[in-house]
Amino acid sequence: MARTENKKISRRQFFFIIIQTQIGVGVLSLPFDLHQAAKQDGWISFVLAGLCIQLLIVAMWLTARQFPDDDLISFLPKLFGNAIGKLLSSAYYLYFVCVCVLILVLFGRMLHLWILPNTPFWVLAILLAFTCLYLISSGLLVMARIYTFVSILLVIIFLLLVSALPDIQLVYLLPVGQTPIPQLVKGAQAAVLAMLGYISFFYLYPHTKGTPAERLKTMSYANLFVILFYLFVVFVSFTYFSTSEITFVPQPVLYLLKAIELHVISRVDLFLLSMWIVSVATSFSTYLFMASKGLTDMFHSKKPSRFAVFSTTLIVVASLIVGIDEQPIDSFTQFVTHVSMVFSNVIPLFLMLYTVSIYRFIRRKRHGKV
Amino acid sequence: MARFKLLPLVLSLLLLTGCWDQRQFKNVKLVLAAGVDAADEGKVESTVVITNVQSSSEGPGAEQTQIVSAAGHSPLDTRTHIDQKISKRFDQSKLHVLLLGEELAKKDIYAYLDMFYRDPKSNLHAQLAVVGGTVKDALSLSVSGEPRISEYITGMLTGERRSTHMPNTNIQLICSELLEPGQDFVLPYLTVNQEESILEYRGLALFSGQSYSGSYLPSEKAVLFLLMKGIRGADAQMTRKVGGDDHPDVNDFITVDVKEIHRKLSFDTHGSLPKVEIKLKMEADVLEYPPNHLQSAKKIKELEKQIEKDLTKEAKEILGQLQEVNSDALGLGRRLQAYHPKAWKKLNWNEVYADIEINPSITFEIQSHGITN
Amino acid sequence: MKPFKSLRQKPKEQKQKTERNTTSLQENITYFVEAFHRSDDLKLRILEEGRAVLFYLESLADQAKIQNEFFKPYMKMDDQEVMKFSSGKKVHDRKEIIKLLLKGHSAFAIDGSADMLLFNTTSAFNRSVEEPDNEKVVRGSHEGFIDNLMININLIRKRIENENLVVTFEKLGKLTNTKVALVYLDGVANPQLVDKVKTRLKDISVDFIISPGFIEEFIEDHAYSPFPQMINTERPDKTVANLMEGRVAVLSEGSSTCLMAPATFFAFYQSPDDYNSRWFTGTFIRLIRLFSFIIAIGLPAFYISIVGFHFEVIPKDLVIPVKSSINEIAYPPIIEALVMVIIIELIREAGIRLPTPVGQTIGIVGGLVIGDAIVRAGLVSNFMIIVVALTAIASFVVPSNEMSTTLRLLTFPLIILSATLGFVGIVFGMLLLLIHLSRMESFGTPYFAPLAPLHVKDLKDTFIRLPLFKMNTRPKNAKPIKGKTQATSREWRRDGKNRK
Repeated sequence: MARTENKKISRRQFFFIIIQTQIGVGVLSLPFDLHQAAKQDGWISFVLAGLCIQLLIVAMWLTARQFPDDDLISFLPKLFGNAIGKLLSSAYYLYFVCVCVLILVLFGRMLHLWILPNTPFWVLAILLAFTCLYLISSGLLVMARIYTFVSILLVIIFLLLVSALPDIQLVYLLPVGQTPIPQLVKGAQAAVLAMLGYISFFYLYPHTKGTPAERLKTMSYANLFVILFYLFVVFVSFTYFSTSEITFVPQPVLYLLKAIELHVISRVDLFLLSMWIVSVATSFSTYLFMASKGLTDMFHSKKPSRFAVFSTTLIVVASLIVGIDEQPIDSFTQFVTHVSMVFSNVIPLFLMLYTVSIYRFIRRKRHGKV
Repeated sequence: MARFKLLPLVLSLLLLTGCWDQRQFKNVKLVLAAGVDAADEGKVESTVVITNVQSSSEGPGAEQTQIVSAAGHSPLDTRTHIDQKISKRFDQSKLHVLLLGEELAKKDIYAYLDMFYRDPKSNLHAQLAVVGGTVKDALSLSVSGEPRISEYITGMLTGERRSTHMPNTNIQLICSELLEPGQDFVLPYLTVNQEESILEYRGLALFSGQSYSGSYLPSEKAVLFLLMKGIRGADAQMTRKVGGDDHPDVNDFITVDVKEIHRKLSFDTHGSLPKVEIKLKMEADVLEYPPNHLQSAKKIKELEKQIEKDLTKEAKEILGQLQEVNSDALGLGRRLQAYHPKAWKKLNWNEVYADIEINPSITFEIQSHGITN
Repeated sequence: MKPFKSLRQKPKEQKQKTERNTTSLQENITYFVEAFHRSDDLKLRILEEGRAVLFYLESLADQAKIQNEFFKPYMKMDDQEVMKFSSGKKVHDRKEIIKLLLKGHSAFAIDGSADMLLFNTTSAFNRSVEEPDNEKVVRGSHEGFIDNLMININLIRKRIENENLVVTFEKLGKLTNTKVALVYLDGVANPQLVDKVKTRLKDISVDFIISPGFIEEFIEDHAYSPFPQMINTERPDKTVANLMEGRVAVLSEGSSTCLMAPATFFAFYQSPDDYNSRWFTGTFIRLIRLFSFIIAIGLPAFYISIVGFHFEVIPKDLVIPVKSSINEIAYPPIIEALVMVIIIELIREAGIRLPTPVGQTIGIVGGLVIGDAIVRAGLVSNFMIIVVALTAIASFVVPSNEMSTTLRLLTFPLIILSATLGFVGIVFGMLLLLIHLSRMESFGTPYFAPLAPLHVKDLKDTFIRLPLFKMNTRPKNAKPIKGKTQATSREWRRDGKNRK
């Protein structure tokens, strides 16, 4: 027993895994997406989205609390029986693979646009996917250690953005509250896509030390941190670029740093992009980890590496099929957004309702018989 | 998990296959200053200054500059033509200065800057300036003591910025103002002095919408204009006449350095056209005043009043000029939109701007007068 | 795998029964002469007209000791008393006698007796205790380990006068029978760690162990990693400090190097000097060293990716100097870098093997003459020389020689990565390195602790060095069983006015 306790991650590590998973590929383009949907009121949509996610986290916690030792793939069969459970698990596996593919193509596209226009995508895809495979093959504990360590990069990203503050104009945030509600909701949808990753709560919960309440608190802090970090990014981009200019720049965060020259170094955006790669790698690793762990558990296998290699290869091949041209990426992003709404929002809510009402009842009855 | 031990090794092997994006610094022709002029038949003519340096084992070697220009349909088209005249290809990603010819600036300048905004490698903090006459002449000058024209121009502009004669501008900073309605911008205006073979800073070229209006604010008025915009460099020096008669004498002038400014914009949207009030409070040090009467508070008050009157008059002139050429360089429109969005929606700002009433009121205060009275 | 199975099994000789001497002197002596394959340094001295023989290995035994221990008392005795030497040890087991002879003992055999008398006449050839050349400190102890195990243990015991200091011996090497000592402080060192080291030591089954380097490769966790996983020192004070943190030390006969486990990455960046100077200085020097790590592995790669991929990054005032320096260089930067790095390695390697005065000359010739000429010839640019020289210096800043070599080796993959993908390549290289460091464990301790996993409290003695009176807890690295190191040592400060 002591041994399994040692293999659990601490709550601090849990915190960092969550933020590293949530902050990822979306951070560079989030301000643009928000602005597309809700103009200068995009930040309101964002706060809305953050609050919704907080509610979802509570819902997920209510579900996870019932299964202290099981993650998503192992408690689905317990909830719905083997057949439906397996079906849902496979669906989740495919969902995680899709998110991985999306991360990979967005990553490839970003590098293609900004620094490596001629490098073939397959090189970058293989490099990222297999580096992450190397990372997840070391297990959750090592992943947690690395996520904690690389979080220092978030501080550096923050400081880089601070260097843009002298050039901002607060007037670009005004007037507030001119956007109609439907557009705010649309903005919130875009924001949720950037903050995806809270679903990993189902996987990390049983592997984290601490009482259920403590774990919920840590998760909420992580969510708060992510909201504040993103808000800062959105704030800087919205005030640096004028309202009409931001529609021209899909990656405002990079673009604004491109225009800044520090004394020792110019083109700060290239450094930001390099650090962003690490954030992408961490998000990708978490999804890859969830996918391959899910697959391993579904087959009750003792050889996780086989499934990890299979999943990675599948993802790389799929991403090469999608490619990094604008059109397919856009439609694929649309697809993943819709699917995410189902898998990250609707199903967790449904699971919560099912667990707290029906499942409890069934279990009590079963216990009563025994 | 043992099989992953060699994974990093395999990944590194993958990289030995090639280096697709290499751009060797030693192989490029470095362009530090460039410019575009308008040419016949709607074409553009680009001029680039290529800096060649000899390598040497002790420090930087001798520099030679090569000035090449070519005409084409678009800036990138001219690039192709220039490349056909030089060895290797030139590279603008370390561009320091971009000059715009006066005639060209009168067209929509966004079209000529588009390639800089679109290219991930471009240098967005290159300084921008409008040149009276042609850019080709300006870039062909050989200024004694200044081996590099790019350094000469950036140095000049930096100096003007520090002395509050021009705002901080670069390709990126004007972009917001270029695209945003209700906000215009200014660029430094330079002219070529062929006799002395130098460039001269003349003032601020006023832009209306996305093109040069054709008139510029002379450099004497630039300081007050920038203070009204709320911008102050390292120092903001102004010399004003405060006495004497029609025959000016050195004793009639006072030079002050504005240390602090407080600006307040207020809009009155009750009428059909909004009224704008600009309240500007300045605190200044006296730097030069030969008559030496600054010990009495009364005399100081008197001086302050006189300067206030003078400055308010000048502010009105500046605003008049801005309205005349329809250049909202103070960004009044965007502020109206921000604070009074309803009033903004009713107006077509571009049309009404010239007709609205703008009242400047300036309060001036002398806070110190150096180490003598 | 079958043919190798036999090698893994323990050798059978050890299980053989002991061979006893016979009563015939002739037979016994013949046996020993044959056992040593008629080796010429087995000296036989025939006494008592052939009825007794004193024999020993001339190369190991000390003549003066033989004189004192054997001949002086022997002269005074008559035949019957011979076997009652007080200093001799009676042995009749032939194997045992061979072992003792190999240690430098002398054997006295007499006709008609199966017992032989063995005298300890081991010659002691020892270096005097000196400061180790490669780990010099400015202040503090100037003693270093020497090639004698007992003296080395003595040096440790002298510094820890505590009955809890445990020394256990182990014989390693099937043919060399090298004596290896395991030293730890009971009550501080984690028993699981001690067991782990012991089992791994016992598991070693090779013919010969010459130096601790052999042992290290047999017992470390990740043999395929470029990073050293045991601390390596010749300084008793460093050994003691590590023992006090709960580590286990391994010393071996005939070597002045002491191995300690478990090691963490940052342990290689600590030097006893840090604790002998004021803590501000100590902290500053530590930070410089850690910064040197980043320079040593990353600087050439960073430079290459700048001049080969992203020259936009060069600040505007440096554009012309850099351009003029590399403008007419014939080769791409990666070749330049490799040429320079290899030249520096050549100079270094050449300098080590030569006697000091010649070594210095090589340094001057290599560094100054080649450096200057290579720039004039246009093979390598000024900036590349600066970069590579800085890298080399930065790698020598590390107090540990193994780590320094590792760093210089790691420069190469990063150079290649940066020459293929620019900054992206560097990021992936660093990421892989970080994953590798975080995966590794040395005897159950995470190698990259206290950064990954993060132990905020342990940072006090890794990145910075807090004053000693603030270091109240032992670092968690070695998982010591006793956490606290001190109560308040500066109690007198609490209410300074009342006390003196």
